[in-house]
Parts: sequence; C-alpha cells; structure tokens
Amino acid sequence: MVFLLMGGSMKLGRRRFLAASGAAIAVACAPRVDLPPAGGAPSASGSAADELDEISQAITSGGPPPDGIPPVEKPTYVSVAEASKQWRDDAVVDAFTIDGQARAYPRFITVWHEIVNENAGGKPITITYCPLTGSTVVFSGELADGRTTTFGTSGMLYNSNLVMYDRATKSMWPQLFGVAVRGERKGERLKEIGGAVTTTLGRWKAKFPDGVVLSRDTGHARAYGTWPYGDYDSASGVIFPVRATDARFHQRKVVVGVRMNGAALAIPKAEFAQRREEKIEVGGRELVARYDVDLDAVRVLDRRTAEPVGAYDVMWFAWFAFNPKTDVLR
Amino acid sequence: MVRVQPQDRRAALTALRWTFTSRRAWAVATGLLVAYAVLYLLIAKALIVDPAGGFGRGVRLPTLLLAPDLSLRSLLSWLDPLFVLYATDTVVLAPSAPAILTALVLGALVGVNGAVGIESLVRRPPACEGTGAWWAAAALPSFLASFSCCAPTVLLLLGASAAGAVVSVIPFVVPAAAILLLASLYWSLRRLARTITLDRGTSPVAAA
Repeated sequence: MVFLLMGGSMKLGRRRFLAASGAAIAVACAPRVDLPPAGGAPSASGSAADELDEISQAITSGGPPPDGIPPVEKPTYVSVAEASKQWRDDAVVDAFTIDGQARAYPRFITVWHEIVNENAGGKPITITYCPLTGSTVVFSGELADGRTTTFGTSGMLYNSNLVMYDRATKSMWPQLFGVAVRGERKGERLKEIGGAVTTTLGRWKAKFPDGVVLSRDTGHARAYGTWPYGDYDSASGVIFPVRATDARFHQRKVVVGVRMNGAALAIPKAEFAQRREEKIEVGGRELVARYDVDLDAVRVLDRRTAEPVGAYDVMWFAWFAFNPKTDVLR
Repeated sequence: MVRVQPQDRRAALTALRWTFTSRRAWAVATGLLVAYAVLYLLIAKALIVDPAGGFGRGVRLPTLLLAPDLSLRSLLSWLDPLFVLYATDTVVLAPSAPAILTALVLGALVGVNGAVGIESLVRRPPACEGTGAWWAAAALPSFLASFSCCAPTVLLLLGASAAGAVVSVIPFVVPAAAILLLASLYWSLRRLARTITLDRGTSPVAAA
C-alpha cells in the first residue's frame, strides 16, 4: 500500500521523489562489478564440472555488493616500533615471510578489507582473510597461463566463506576451495603460498623485530581497532548455510587445515601444542607438522624439502563443510 | 492506495502546528530523535562503545579522519564511513552518509510521531480518541534497517534460518520504515484534527 501524503497538485513532486529514492537505493545496492551468473561456462579442467556447478549454485549473497568490502590495493607498512604504539601485544596478526621480509597483517585492519593485494619481489600476491571462517590464505596473483591479476570481494559467500573474484576475468573463487567455480577460469586452481601463520603481534615482533606491519593508512576510512563481528568467534552454531556439518568439535574450534591431492587433514590446534611435532601424510605427500612455540602456531612442512606447504588456521565448521571426508589428527 | 484529500492535508498540517505550539512537543521530538539516532548508530555499529577498546593507542584523542573518497558511489554506500571519529579511548563514531541520513530522517519521524502522541494525551481535546502508540511499532522496521551495512550482524542475532530472507529484504527496509512512520503520523494527525474539530471552541482547525 502506498500512502499519498500530498494533494493532487503535488503528485509530480511525489513521483519524482519516489523515483529518486528508488534510484538512490538501486545505485547504493547495485553491484559495482558485473560478476558472471551461475552456470554457463564449462570447467577449464574439463573435470568435476558437476561439482563446480553445484558449488556455484550454492553461492549466496552475504549482503555487500562486489568490493563493498574494499580490498587494500596499495598497502603500506610501518615498523614494529610504530605498530607497537598502535596495537596491543595480544592483537591477532596473520604473518608470513616473503622475499626475505617478515610481514604481519593485523586482523583489526584486515577484518575491514578481507583482501590485501600486494606485490612481493615484482610478483603479485594476495592475502585473503575471511572473518566468518577465521581463515587466512595467501595466494599468488599469477594465474595458470601466466596472466597476473588482483582480487576483489564479490560480496558472496559459499559455506559461509569469502568468495573472491579475480579482476582479470571476474571469475569467482571461494577462498577455502581455491578453485574457480564460476566464470572463464572455472575449474582452475590458484597457487597457494605456504608459510602463513596466525599469531599475536607480541609473539611475532619478538621473533621478527625487523619485520613490517600493515599500516592503518589503507586509503580507506574505517574504524580500525574495532571488531564488527561481536562475539562471533566464540558463539555456537552456523550462521550462513553450509553443505555439511559435523559435531565432533565446537563449530568455531580452530583447526589447522592441510589439503593435498584431494585429501584433507585437520589438526586441532590447541591439542597439537602438546605434541610439538608429528610426521603426517596427506594425499600421498610426506609432511611434518611442527608446533612453533614462539608464535603459538602450527607449521606444516614438506619432509624432504623443508619448504612450508599451504596450511592455515580455520574454524572447524568451515573446514568440514569444504572437506567432509577430512581426516582428523588425533 | 490511499489518496489524501487537500482538506485532510490542511487539517493534518494544522494539527501538526497545534502540536508544536508546545515546548514539551519540541523537547519530546528532539529527545526521541537523539535517542533513536544514537540507538540506530549503535545497532548499525557505526557508533562503537567498548570499555576495553583502547582506541587511543597510537592516536591523539580526539582524532577525526575524513573519508578520502567522497564520490557519489562512496557517499551512497552503507559500508563506507563518511568519517571516523576516535572520540575517547572507548568510543568511536564511524557512520556512512546513508546511515546518518537514515538516523536523522527516521529519528525525526519517530520524534514527531511521539510528540503528536504525547501532546494528544496531555492536552487532550474533549472528544479526543487518543492516538495510541502504534508509531512505536512502525519504528521497529527502522531498527532492522540499521543492519543494512553488515549482514552478518543480522545473522548473529536472527540465526541462519532467517538469513536469506532478511538479507534479501534489507534494501527495502529503510523506505518501508519511513512509509510506516509517515502513515502513522498522518493518521495520528488526521484523528487529532477530527476530534478537535468536534469541539469548535478548542479546535486548532477552527482557530486556524
């Protein structure tokens, strides 16, 4: 029902007002980027297209439009000393070393952006953080054919997890899947950069006093230092729909997820702190999981090369939703 | 569709003027506007009050940071704060332009509705039917509008089953709340004008 509050002589004004309001709402809510619709292009790999289509169909809106949560495009860094003035020692950071430089990304900043598009050694890399699944994954911005790209936030979710899109082809990539499920790159897997850990600023700076920390000077005005998700990290239950659930652990329990050659392993982080080191095999690959006492983090390395492999902290519900056949290290 | 006749509009406007001849009406309207705006911004997390915040670390308080991007697109975005004010060590204000506008417009409507309701009760004309307080119910959707910026917040409160439905209607909640409040106001004023008219001696319509 529409209530007309003005007389006949005001009809035009009212209509104009309604039209302008509608247009304003439409503009405010409209996607800024034309992302591909579900279905359409076949899988680039030619395999598991049905699964990709199922995933693509299961993608839901998280609310914001594409890049409504804006990635940091030109990150700048501050010294450990400067960062220590801004953040308490217990501030959570995601950290890794690349090109010989230790870098830390405070979640009090990344929670507002979810993606940091960066350049390291002349090569694009993208640091991605999904607050709803508690996962930080670092990807190379180099696609399989050598083309480079940066990534944006699509505003969509799959299994409650951030769905990114690449700026080169607008293909859509669920962060924890690492494979494009929609668009030109459908079926293609992103190259994951291993070695990232989640720790606190205090622990990290003690180990890397010469490291650098992502600056609050991101090119955006955001209430850095505040947390928009309340007590989400400790609450129970699943909020957005997920495709599989499991009650072995609290939904938000942090596990370290490792995925190799189609196999998956979850390492309960808190319990593993007592074990310190364990030889593991995932998807036929021989690995070793090590507890880093200094950082209170679990690293997973290739047993032969000692190179870090892709492994990251993630909430149990999300890991299981993406990997229902996952093993759990007991 | 309800069409408002010119005489009804005039009566409503006259009843509105009658209401705001009282200082109390201004006080009520202003108080409700401020209360609504603060509550709205708190729910929208545009106003953050955190006793453990420590927001003063590394910045001189108070610090005001203006949005570097003031393009139309940014100004229309619920997610882009117009400014960030680190007011104290525990209070941060970071509203977007749509959030400010919504807080003020809906707050004003809630305030005027409240003032009309209270003046009708206190200065009750002899034949007054009473305006009721269903404008308060009309204000409820406007609080839902405060979630526009951050869908996960909605879901934290409502749970997964309501997620899809809520997210999909959010763009319509602000205009719906405004229409409900306007309708509530109009009906309250019309009723007020009519009941006052029954007693010509006190009728603001007659006096006008």
